[in-house]
Amino acid sequence: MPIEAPLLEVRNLKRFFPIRRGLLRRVVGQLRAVDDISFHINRGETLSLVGESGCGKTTTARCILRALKPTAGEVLFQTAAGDVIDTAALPKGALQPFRHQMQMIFQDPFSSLNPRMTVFDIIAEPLLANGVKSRDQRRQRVEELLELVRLRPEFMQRFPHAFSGGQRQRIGIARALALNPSLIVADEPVSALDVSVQAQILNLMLDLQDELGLTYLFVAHDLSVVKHISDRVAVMYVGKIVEIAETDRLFKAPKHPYTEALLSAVPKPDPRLRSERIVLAGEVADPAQPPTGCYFHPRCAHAIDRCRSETPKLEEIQPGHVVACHRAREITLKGVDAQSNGKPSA
Amino acid sequence: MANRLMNGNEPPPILTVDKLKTYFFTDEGTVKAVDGASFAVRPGKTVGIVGESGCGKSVSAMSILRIVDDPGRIVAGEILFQRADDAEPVDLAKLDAEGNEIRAIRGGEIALVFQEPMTSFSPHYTIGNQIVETIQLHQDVGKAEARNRTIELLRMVGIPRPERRIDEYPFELSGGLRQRVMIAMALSCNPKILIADEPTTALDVTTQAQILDLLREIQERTQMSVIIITHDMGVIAEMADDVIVMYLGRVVESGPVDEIFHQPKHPYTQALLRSIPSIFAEPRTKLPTIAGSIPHPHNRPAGCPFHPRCAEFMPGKCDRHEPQLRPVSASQLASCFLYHEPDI
Amino acid sequence: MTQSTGERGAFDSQFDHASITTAAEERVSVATQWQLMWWRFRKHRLAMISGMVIAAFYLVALGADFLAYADPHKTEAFRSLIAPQPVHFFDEGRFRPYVFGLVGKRDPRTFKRVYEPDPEQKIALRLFAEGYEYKFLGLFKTNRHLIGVDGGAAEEAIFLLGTDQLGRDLWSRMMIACRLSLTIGLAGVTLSLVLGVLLGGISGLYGGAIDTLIQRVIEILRSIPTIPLWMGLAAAMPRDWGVVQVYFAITVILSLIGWTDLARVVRGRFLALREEDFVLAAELAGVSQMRIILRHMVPSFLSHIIAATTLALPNMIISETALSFLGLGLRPPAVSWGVLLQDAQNIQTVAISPWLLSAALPVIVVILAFNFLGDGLRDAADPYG
Repeated sequence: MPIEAPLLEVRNLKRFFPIRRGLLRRVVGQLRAVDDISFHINRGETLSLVGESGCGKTTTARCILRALKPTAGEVLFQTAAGDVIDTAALPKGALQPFRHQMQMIFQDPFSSLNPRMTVFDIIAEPLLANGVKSRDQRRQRVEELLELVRLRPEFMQRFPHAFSGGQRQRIGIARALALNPSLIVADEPVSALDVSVQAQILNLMLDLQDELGLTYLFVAHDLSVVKHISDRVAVMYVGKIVEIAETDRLFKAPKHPYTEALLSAVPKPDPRLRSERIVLAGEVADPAQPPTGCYFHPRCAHAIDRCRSETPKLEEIQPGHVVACHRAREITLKGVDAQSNGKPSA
Repeated sequence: MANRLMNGNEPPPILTVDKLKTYFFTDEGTVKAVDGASFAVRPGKTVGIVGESGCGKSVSAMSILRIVDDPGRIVAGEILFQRADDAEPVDLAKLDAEGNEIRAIRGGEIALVFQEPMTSFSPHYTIGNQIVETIQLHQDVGKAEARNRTIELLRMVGIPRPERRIDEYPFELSGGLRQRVMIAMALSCNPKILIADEPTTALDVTTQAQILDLLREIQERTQMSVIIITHDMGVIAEMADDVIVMYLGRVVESGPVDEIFHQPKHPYTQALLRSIPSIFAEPRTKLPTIAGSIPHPHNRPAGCPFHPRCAEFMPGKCDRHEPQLRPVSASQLASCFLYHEPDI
Repeated sequence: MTQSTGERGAFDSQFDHASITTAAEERVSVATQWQLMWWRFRKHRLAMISGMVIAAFYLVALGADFLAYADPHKTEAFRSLIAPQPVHFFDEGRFRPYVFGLVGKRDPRTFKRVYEPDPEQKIALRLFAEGYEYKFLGLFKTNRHLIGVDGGAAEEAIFLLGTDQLGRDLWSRMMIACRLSLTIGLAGVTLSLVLGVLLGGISGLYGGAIDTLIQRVIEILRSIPTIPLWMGLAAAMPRDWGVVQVYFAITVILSLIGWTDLARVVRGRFLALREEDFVLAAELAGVSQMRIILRHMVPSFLSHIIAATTLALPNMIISETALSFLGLGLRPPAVSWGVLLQDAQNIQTVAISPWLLSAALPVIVVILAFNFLGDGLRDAADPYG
């Protein structure tokens, strides 16, 4: 357990979207996109938020950045001055002075850069907005940032359309770093890139974390990518966190049946490992009409009566390993092990 | 060369693509989307075509089905398809793209499954309608019989309560179910070859596992050949018997799946396998990378297209001459000057 | 290939060797939105030609009096309904354009006045001849015209497109008509542009109740049928207003309805742009709302607005023509294409004097040109798509 306070602590975060129907657009229900989740991120570490589409991971990220207003809950962020603020509660205006301490890296390297602005204008914009009035100063900082993300400073007069996806993603990272943020929220930053380029961006993010002491919240669906970048992993299913653990633990010894199924479903890049996979039956639950009890029970092989009626709470079953499963202590699940199944020699 | 997989007791390939070139003639210049690709598909086996964006894997598939849109054109090469066991193979590349023969083959003998099932259905008709129509287009059956077959197909691809689902519209189904319906539609005419173009890319990982299982199960049952096109090495390892690795319109390496993953010969294949994030990696370890990024198809490098990013680049050779796809082991072919000298 | 440049060698393993290779690509890589649009537009042949045609039309509107040779308002019963008259360019092997003089006669059976060329009478055409007096570009008085005859009585001698019932020269009137027909829509379009961008912008930007209100207003306005509205308005205008004044007032009122299309476009763009990642990135960086609108949002739909406006102008022109033709828009003595076409309202006149329809030709050409230009602009408007 950390001695110092975490950089970010999310407590009982909820975000519901009203479902409207009919001519009068009456609210007929609530889509529980994020349904009472809590976690923390320590300074300098990477926490990954994984899950399938619609599980609420992106909504969570946007609530933390206050791009979306949470329905309920606290988002406690430790500012550079050492104070703790609740970004969920502050009015937007009062949040402004702290905004630059949390920045975002986007999934789509094409829509995240304004095609009508030069690279210089894109990266310098946060500087301009935060009071760096001298153009020379801005130019110098942009040069620094471009070198930091391994791009040539001469590129700054070019427009985004002159760059490949991987290069654009570097530009997006440079922009996010412009204001020396402490927290970077990266929403699927490599999933739109070609596989041979993914590794470059992942390595860059690891390097930058070491160089600048950054803290990452890494939102992703790809468990292989997550394994490379994270210290800890939180797994989400239908708006809830089902398991949080250190990366190695979670992959080797998952305690939630959903985590196990997720790990097992990842296609392994080795034809000799075409093994028996756990193929989940059925479909992901509808967050507008979630099942009773544990949301995962209709697809779970280990479900008992209690799972159908009672919603499991997140419980710490080992130091740092929390699971929301009634049977977490009694069932043994299969993870993936780097020792027995090393990567194919190439 | 394309018949390399033949040995004494093995039947001839059902589809042989030989030196296929499909170019796109745009205002900005000619894009050589597929530039001399050769491979063969064995009956009842799965061929995986793998590569990154712009490698020509999808255009190869579209060329086989002759659905390359303007300004694209097949400019050279042969696509020999064995329609019946004892007949002469048909060269699909020579057929009239709008003619009766290719129409009978397309969707009938060679079926296609797309990446995004939503866009491949008409939103105005029920899924049943669309499958029934496909069946009646290719086979001489009555409406009632076609409907029964459709329900059978939907059941086969694992759609619950197919009698009811048949009358639903595409938007009422989830992504996974839509992909199942898409597969059902492709199977409706008992194709000899199923081409699946990124069939699981738009799906979640657990749904992907379901669909891959389904494809494998159906193939075992029907003994059709499958061409699976993907950028995901994991999917290839799970599914393919033979693998074709493409880069910028060319086949750089091909061979049986185990050799490709365990004894890759081409530097690109080797580098790609090293650089992909793996679920078995130690947490927070850096990956070996391939330098640079894929060139824009308009400025394809001279010589071997991979040479600017290649760790084994040999100046004067790789940037001047084009390597040919040649045998590099008992079962593998690679296109690289590490294994043969330039023909001068 | 871009090769390592010594001190940058350390980066080179990460750099794209093959990204930018030639000067032409370097040029593209630093090209602004407008340059890219222009390069794309340039490839659109038809739109380029249409653009030139439209420019030519507006030049005609500017120099209408210079191109006309007869006073467009001067009536003369003796010159009623003269047919278009051929111009002879060569006189005895030399380039010396002339027309034959006309002799008016009565048809002995129909008692109609007919005109026949008199081969004895060759009237030479002069360039920059003197004619009726006018103010060039509204700046200085002159009486020079592109063509004319010696002695300045061109209206008595030249009838390139014939004359109307009141003996006014059709060519000259068509030149003058350009002015009104091509410009009267501009005011209306400008006004609907301002309203559309403003209200559409507010609607898309703020959303919520304001958005709903504006959207309902748009729906109500769009349900009003325009022809009865015009008729009512035409009747309701003060009697002491001049014809052009009345028409102008009506266009302005119509543009108060016409902004709805543009407002919808703008609102849609705003809604789409609000969701763009680069807008969120700017918000997260603390960029002010105003700057986000001006720097990020407006430039990305400005080009669409230009295209939409180009496509809205022909609507205005055609509605002027149609309404004037029906007698609801401009009325004589104003001169516009629609007014000219009023003369061609009954089938009898058209059968006997088909040249009265000639004003339809510029209408068709201009409308087509505007539409082609608009299409070209629209295609080029989003060079990143």
